[in-house]
Amino acid sequence: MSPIRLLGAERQAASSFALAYPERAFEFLSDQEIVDGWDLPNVRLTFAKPEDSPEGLPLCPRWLSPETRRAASLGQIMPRLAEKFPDYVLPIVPQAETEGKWVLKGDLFHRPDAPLSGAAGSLADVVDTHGCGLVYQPEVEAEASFLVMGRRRDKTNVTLGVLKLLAERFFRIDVIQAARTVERADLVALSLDALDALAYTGWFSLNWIEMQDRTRLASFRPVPHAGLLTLRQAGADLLEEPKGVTVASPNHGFMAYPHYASYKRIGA
Amino acid sequence: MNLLILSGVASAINYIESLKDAPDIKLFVSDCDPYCPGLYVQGVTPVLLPRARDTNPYRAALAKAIETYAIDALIPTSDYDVEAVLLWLKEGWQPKLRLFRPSFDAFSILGSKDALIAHLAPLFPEAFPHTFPLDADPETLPYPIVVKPRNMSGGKGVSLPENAAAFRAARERLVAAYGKDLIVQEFIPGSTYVLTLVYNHAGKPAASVGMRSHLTFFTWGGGGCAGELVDEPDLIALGQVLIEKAGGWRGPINLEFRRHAANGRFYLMEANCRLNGYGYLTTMNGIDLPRLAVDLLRGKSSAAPRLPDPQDRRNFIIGYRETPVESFLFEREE
Repeated sequence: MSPIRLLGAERQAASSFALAYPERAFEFLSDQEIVDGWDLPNVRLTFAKPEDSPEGLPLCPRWLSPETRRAASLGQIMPRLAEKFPDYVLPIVPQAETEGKWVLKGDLFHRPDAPLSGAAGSLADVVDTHGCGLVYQPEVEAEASFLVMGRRRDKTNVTLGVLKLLAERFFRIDVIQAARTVERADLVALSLDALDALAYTGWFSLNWIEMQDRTRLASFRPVPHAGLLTLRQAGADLLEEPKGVTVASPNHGFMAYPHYASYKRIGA
Repeated sequence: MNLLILSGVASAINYIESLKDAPDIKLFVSDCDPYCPGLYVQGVTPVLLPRARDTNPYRAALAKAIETYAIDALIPTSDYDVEAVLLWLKEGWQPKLRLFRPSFDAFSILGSKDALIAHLAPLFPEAFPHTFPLDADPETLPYPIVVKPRNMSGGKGVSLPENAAAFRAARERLVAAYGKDLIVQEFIPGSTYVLTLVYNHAGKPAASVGMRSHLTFFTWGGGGCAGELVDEPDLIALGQVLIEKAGGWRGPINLEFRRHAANGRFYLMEANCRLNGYGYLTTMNGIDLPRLAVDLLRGKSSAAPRLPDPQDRRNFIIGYRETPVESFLFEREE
């Protein structure tokens, strides 16, 4: 069996895949020279660039084709969903209005480094050094955050899990520090409705923010995150082709533990 | 020995990894964050404490933990914990346990970016980036320039405006977030180096190890998440004299430098009065600084560790590996 190629293997999801599926071989592809994973027995690492269009499973939308990336951007997806589900989607706008506070987000992919928010004027110094495109979302007071992650073949064949995000860290990559699967039929239903509305097929990650009055969708990305081992243990095997609607069982948790290992540079 | 490590991230992970299997040590790890990774290591007894900044509840809870678990030795590993413990000692706390007791005056200099610059930059002008007033005319500043909060670590709030307009906006954003307690500083192009030292109770360096970052946590820089050991006697000499002029030290401390890409000089960016998150790199290379610190607390002395030969050295990268957790500690009922 040929190795599963993971594109953008600097992401936390890469080691998550390798740990979740020790019986499978993986090839980590990245355009960063220094990547975690050298000590994993089922992993080999290769340097590659998104512009070379290697085949594989993108862990970051940077590795999608330009057309697909644009179609899956927040600026494209979120307005479509907001039109269909106005009560459940936090708007994304290309320019922050002068009133209120805003969260700065990457349009095409997650903007690296610490999240930035504030009044429109105070975000004016931020330049798009990563090529992710910049969009804005109203800042809201979140009581909890959830990640609905999975894989959809069609309306009736979807495998997914709902992870309550207990702690996150934001470096050059975003890291899920602690999360636990939960039973949230409302989020499953809303997520399936959103995917149906988009007629979306493939891997997905939907971030939901729970506010005092309701839950709102904060982002959609067409890639998986870390949590694959946990979802597999909870009965949602995301490498299996979805058959029927399968939802991960609740109360499976994970922690991101800092792991130290030696590495070799993967050269250009 | 019942050893309590205050805070369970970065620096603490090094202690935990080095000492978790030691037959002579029982590890207790505290944090205010129930999702802190150090609390979940097998064999570690987790202790939830209030935030170190909440002085009275913190002190009461720490005193209770020391009594409850019969703690023999205490090592603070976060900046807030170091400050809280040293301030309490200064105010007369007399715990019956082993811990390093550097002077609070030295901590006041080394633990504050502002005081570090004010105290040491006049003595070592070539070892510090130029600083500028927060209200400086943006048109007169050299760009890019660094704007950062004086008393934040871990890269929080750091901005690198490229021009006057960006500087104005960054200043507005950071003042709104952190107040006017900001540093405006010359940007030093180059690589990040960390010098980690462990001083004995007499204030003499028992270990001095240089490291270089190959990858930083943030795309703009900040602390390192991958790197290697380096043999840089000049860096060690500079670090030791800077610490001496700040009043000396007892216990672990690390200094973060930038080495200028053009002139090759080391510029001190900040000091952290604890082992750094890089510390496990030294353990991987046979220089077990956590064990050395514990031995010093026990009154043992050992020869200064030596770097392995270049061909035998190991580099490292930190990965954030998904690790199943049966249940989270102290989790609120839903």
